[in-house]
Amino acid sequence: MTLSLERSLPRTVAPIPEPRRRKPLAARVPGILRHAVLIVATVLFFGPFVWMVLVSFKSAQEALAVPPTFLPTEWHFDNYSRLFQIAPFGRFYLNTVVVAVLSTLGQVVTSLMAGYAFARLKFRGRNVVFVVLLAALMVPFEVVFTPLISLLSSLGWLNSYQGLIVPNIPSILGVFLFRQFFSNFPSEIEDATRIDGASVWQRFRLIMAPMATPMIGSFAILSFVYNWNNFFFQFIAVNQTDFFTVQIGLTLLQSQEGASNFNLLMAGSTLAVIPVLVVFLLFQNQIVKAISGGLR
Amino acid sequence: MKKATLARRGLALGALVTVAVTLAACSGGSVTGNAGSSDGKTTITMWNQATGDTATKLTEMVDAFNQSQSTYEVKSQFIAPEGFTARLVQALTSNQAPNLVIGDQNPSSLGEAIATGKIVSLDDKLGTGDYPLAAEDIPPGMLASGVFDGTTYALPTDGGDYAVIYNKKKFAEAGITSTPTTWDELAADAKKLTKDGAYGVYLPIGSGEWPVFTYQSMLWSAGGEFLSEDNKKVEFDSPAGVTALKTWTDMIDAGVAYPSTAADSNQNQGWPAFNAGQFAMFIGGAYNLKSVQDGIGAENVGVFTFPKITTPAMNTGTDVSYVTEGTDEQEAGSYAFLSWFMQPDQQAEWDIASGYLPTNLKTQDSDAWKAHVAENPLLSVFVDQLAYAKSRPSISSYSEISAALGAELEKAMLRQKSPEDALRDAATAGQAVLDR
Repeated sequence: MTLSLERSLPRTVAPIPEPRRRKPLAARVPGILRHAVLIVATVLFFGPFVWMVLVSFKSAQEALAVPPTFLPTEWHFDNYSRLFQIAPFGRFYLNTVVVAVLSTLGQVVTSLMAGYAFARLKFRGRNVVFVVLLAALMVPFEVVFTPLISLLSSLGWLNSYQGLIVPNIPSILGVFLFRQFFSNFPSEIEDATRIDGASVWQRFRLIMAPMATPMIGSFAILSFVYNWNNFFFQFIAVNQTDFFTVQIGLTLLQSQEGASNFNLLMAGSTLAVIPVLVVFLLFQNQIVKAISGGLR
Repeated sequence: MKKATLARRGLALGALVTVAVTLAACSGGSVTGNAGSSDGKTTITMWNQATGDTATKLTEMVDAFNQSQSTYEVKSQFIAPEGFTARLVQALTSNQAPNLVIGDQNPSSLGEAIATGKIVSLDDKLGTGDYPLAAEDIPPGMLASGVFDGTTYALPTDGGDYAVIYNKKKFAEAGITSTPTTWDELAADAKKLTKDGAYGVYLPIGSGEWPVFTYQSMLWSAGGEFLSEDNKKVEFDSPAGVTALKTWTDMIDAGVAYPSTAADSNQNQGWPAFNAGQFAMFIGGAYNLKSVQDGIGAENVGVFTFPKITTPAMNTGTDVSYVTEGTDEQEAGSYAFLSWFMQPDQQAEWDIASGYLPTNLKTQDSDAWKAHVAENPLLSVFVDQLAYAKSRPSISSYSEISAALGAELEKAMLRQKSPEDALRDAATAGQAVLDR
């Protein structure tokens, strides 16, 4: 009887804490090593960006000085305002944002639909077409840009937004990614809706697309970064300052000899990198998931 | 917020952006390079390669020209120097070319543009128009860079040569009282200046055009020639060529010349290392003066004429400007701006801002230029050399021959090859290019 009474009492006394002991060094070494490796890797990868930002505040002299200085001896914040005097960087930014956002939107939408079609819809020649697309993935852009520019030129699309956006809308990599994603998807839910009488569009819009949201997010970020940095194509497709993007605008700051604008070039590069950095920081979880293939 | 509402709003926003973009695309920015005329003025589209502060100056000058007369309106457009000729040829063949190009940094590749047949000959334009400009006003060495097959297709608008820039303080400390006039004297001075880990002189080591550009003056000074008169045979592997190269490699062997490259992707002359005191002399252009004056103090910077081996010789580089085919008004307008740009006052204003040297002999008489030279006496060394300067052969295969020679010069200067072997191999490669 007394036993059960004791047991039914709630425990009101706090448990006696065990004395904290420092882990012996041998046990801490893996943690220290891990931190050391991470610190070295951080310095190696972040170092160039930190350098870029620091140089953007130096004078033209100090930017190229030998031996190099780490922190600027004088902070030239006016480098950033001088940028805007040399060229309309605001306009360049607008162009880059428009081109990158619309290209990404186009890539995501077309790749999503095509991926679904290749994975779930049966039509004649489906596999043949897919294999041809995969083969096309291996052709480098440098091979095809000359006829592409002739085509754009004859359409009158050089120096225009559509000329910068439309050739970038098809993304074979995107089709491949989404096709793999949809292939690996269990088809029970989809079969259920098909039995209920949903059409292809309804299935796609109401079931598959919402399910694919993580994949869409990751692909959208990768695609945005690619389109933001797509210097080569933008460089050859545009001949007028009004349609320059930020990447081409940076060439306006390169110079051969003498009056170097290296500090201005670093300032422009910093401005060009910041939006992508922000996007990455906001969505880093999804990027890591996508690259490590954790999306099923 | 419900998912459906969010999706609908997202779609609406996307549609709005698309419509806005399409409207912007349709209204602004013309598709072709030539926009026709506005307010009765003929529009001249001008491509240029000016970057940084020189770009700002060029925009100012274009505005000044547009306001000074009411017949033509010049629109300036920056095009990057990389791939410029390819882009120009593509634009010429698809009828989207500019009317005028100002300051092409690669005059020898003009041959490719001329091959399209759309570059206008300037022989009959020189001497006409509102802004007086005659062929005699331009030094023959510079004018030659725009002449292809006997016809003048381009005029030089920016001139550049080089001399030896030295650290006066180091010279005084080493007890050198007069600057050298021959390469032997320079080698002796370099010996006195080599101490405490610093070298006497930096000789051009590296890839690219700069070492070839500077070597050519050595070659000419030793009595050699780059190509034969008819530009069909390579001649730089002559004994004079070997003497010229040996003058440099002997200094490296003696340990008085900086043994590796001091150039980087932003400059070729090595001025940052000069500012840091790693050598006391280097070969540089007028455009380097500001950087070294800021670096070691204007009172410590000196310049002396490029030394000779037997006879004084100097190379000159020019940026050229040319007119493309169009309507009569467009061609007249293009030439009007070009000849205006080459007037003494305009050249003075442009060269003071850009650091280039004038290509119009009459600019020497301009007050602004005279005042500028008086303030910067070091400039006169560069300008005086222009009197006997020659220019590189203007043939379309020049860049390949130069690349072959440049690669071999680098090996010789890094002492991986003897000067004779390097020049012989370069000549073989160069001759193969010419024989194609």
